[in-house]
Amino acid sequence: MSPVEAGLYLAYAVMVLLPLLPGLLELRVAADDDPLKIDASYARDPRFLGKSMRAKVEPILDAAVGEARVPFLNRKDEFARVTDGLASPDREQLSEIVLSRGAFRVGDHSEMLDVYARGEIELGAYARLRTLAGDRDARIGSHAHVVRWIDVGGNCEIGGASELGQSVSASGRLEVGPGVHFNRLFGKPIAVVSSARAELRALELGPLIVRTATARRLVKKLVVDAGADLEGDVIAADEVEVGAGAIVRGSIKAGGSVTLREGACVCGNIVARDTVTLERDATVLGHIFGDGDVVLHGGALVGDRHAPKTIHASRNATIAAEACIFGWLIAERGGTTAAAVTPHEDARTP
Amino acid sequence: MPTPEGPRPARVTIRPHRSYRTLRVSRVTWPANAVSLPLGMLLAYAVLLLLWPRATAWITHVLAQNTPVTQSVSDNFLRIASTVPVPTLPSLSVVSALDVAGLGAAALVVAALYKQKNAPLPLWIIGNIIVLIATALWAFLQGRVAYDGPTYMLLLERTSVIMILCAPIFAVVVSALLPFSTLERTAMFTMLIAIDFVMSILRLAVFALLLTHAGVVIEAVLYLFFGPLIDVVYFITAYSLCVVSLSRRIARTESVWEWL
Amino acid sequence: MVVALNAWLTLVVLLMSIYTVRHWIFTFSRVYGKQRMSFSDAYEEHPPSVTVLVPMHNEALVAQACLDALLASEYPKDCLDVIAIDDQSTDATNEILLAYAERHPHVKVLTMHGPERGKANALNVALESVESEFVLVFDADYTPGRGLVRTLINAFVDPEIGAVMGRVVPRNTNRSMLTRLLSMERAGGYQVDQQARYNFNLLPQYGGTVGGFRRRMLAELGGFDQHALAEDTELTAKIFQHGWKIVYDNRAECYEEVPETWESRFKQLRRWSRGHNRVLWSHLWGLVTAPVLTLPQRIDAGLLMLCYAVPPILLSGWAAALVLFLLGRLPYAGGVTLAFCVVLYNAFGNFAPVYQVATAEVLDGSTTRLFLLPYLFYMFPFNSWAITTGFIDAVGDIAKSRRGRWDKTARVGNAPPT
Repeated sequence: MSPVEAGLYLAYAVMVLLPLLPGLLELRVAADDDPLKIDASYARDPRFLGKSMRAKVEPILDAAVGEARVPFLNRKDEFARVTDGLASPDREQLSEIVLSRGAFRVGDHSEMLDVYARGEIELGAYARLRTLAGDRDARIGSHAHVVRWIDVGGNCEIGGASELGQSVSASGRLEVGPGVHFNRLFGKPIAVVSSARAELRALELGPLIVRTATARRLVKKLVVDAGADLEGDVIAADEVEVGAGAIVRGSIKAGGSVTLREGACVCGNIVARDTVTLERDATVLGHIFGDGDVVLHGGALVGDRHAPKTIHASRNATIAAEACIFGWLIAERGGTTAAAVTPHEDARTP
Repeated sequence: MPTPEGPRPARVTIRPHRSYRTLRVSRVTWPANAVSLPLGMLLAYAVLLLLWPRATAWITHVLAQNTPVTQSVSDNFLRIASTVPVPTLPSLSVVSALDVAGLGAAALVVAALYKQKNAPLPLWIIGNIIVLIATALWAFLQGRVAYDGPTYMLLLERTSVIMILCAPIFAVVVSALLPFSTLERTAMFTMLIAIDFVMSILRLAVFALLLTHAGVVIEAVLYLFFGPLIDVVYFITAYSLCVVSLSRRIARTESVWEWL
Repeated sequence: MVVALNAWLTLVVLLMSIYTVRHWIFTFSRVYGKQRMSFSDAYEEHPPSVTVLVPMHNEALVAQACLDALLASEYPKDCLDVIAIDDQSTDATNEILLAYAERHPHVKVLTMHGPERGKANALNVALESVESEFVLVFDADYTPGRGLVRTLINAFVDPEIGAVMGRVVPRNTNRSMLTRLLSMERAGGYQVDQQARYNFNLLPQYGGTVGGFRRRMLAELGGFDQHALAEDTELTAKIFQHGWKIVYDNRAECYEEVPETWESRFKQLRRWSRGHNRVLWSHLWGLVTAPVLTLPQRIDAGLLMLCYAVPPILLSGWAAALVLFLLGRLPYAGGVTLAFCVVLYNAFGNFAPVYQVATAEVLDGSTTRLFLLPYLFYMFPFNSWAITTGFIDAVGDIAKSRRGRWDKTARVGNAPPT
């Protein structure tokens, strides 16, 4: 065998094995061989952000003595100001993260980064903040601008025309003014402007709860007559309309839109591939999942004081004044609160 | 003072949990996908037109000067000229064909008794042996194998030309699914065409040499297991290099969701 | 003969091309399309009662980890029953289970006796004593996270949903080359394939290892076929034929132990293939003609049912190519296309072509493990042969009307990472 022939064999063998080389090195060095990062403790929680922050800042608060300026976690260019309580005038600009053992109060037109307060929180109008967490009640004036999120351990009141960032959650009542833009809201209840009428109705609804329906009907399209009483789950290929004052004692799945006329009630869940509309004083005791928009008119009620639920709109959510939601409201493409649902916003309703 | 939006620069995006993650495409991704197929095929064809005749002539010359492979045949496939080395196949004897078949069968029996046979490499070897036995038996029964030296080498050469022309199609099919940068995309195309070119030329020489020594019984094994299949493994290796680069880039530019 | 062989080769290449296009579309949808969310966000303070069934046969190495994980669940204890089914174990499984039942009142042990053995039969027997409407099933080598039970149960918010399936994430990835390759296959199969099928409202599969169903629905469908080797695929077929749907929840991650030896993987794949191909025989026609399914769903059903028949078909394509070669009539393009098909579609364990695997790994944030992509090619003869032997078994089963034997996957019992 000539050297050239041997060289050709060798070169070919090398070429055949060469594509395996990067993999072989990876097998030897094992730079990326760990299983996917596993979070065995993960559990869905609407207040996850606030709880996660508290878990991180509590040790800082406990370790600091009196008023102090301390490094904040692993952030290189931000420091935390630890205080027993803070009250600032209008137009205050807080350039440090604030961790307060007591209350936190700022006037109008204030700007701040992250704030955590164990006491009550009060922000004036036109506040601009990144993150806010509090263990007691919070009142935020109108035209607030939240970049990330708010989580409150008590009740929370937010003025109108505010931008609420990614999420606002409260363990108690969350009252929101009109003209507010949001992505996720959580409260028991979430009340838009004033929802006394709907909340009063919620008190009377307990006996209607049906957890698992016994019947299941497959239909193309369903119109429940006004005042009718229907037992069982409904699965419709197309849209569903529940007439005024009618009751459906089960869940609804619709390939199209779902509309509840005035005073109608669904005791189970609603899952729709299109828009879900609850007209005036309509009630849903279960969850609402809409692949389209979700529109709640005045006096509409979702969930129950003892059984909070979720509204999930894959597109937008429009919540009119006097509507009331016990639980979690998620609008993937953003939601707004309105003094009343305008004809334009209601245009998709059949 | 840092603004409420800061201190993270605006271009840093929050990376949601892997379950919900999708990828974003830049403005150039779709136009790049659209133009890269014709451009890539044009590049591959231009490389073949310009370099393939010279490279095949060169390797044929090297073989003729230094090895027993002294013959050649000219071809003009898809207007791409080439000079392909042709092995002088040893005459096929019934005894040698039966020897190969018998040895193959013995190897199969050994493999069947091997406890760890159900693993990739043993199964790969068993596949080779089965094809070898089939070819040897065919040669024994027919007295010949359908492909003589020149037709076999032409089949190999033309397959290689098609593979090089197909490389950009593969690259576009796989690269359209991920937002590769222009550099990564160009690197993938270049690697695919360049490596396949070199591999094809080398294969012409080595297969000609192997057939000169071992004869027709290894024709099928060489073509089916060490022919275009190995090229595609190369394609995937080149693809994997670019995907690792992309994945590292994504990991660098996106931060992980915390409580923020 | 040449014409017939060429026609067959063309058909094989065509079939492979259909799968290649199908998975390309799936991958594209997963990367750039809108992802259809499941019902994870359903907030429920008083969730419904649920029973978790864990069938076990000689699972002493993994039983403890699985039960500990279930007991750590944040699901209200008064709504959660765990039934650990000891299916005639000969190791210490029964003692371990009884010890748990003694300490935890909501853990019950069902000890199976009698001539019948197998997962489907064990589940049927256990279901006789279940009272809750919702039932979850975990394999014993799976360790569910704290919130998994709730996440899965949330799927039943939709009254049309009959079953739910979560994502399987291997936890012993770093044990060997095989576990690393299997981890890549799993990523492609779940992160991309299942999610995309769910996105397109096609047929996401109930996997039987981390999932659940409505008890009422199962009763309507006549329970599990107790001789089925792929009771999950069989249930999937029945669910869709009867107008129910399956939710795939990509966030409902559960952590499993993948086989660590080739022999064990071979047996697993062979059993899957055998079971799946028996379901293909009994349910293919029913699915592709089901009036409740849309045309895209019927097409997807056909391709889903056929997926474990593809490797033998592909091998037959190779045989045709070999004969054509020996006849001197192999078309130039035939070999090339077949080569592409083989390599692009070689990771058959979870129906994932190479670009699907790569994309899933990028979404998962993996980096240098992707250098192993070419190694998937060397899995091709292995996967093809294992699936083909399973296919042959299934053909024998059907021809002789015989029952299959449940061939258990060997466990190693690594502690789950937390």
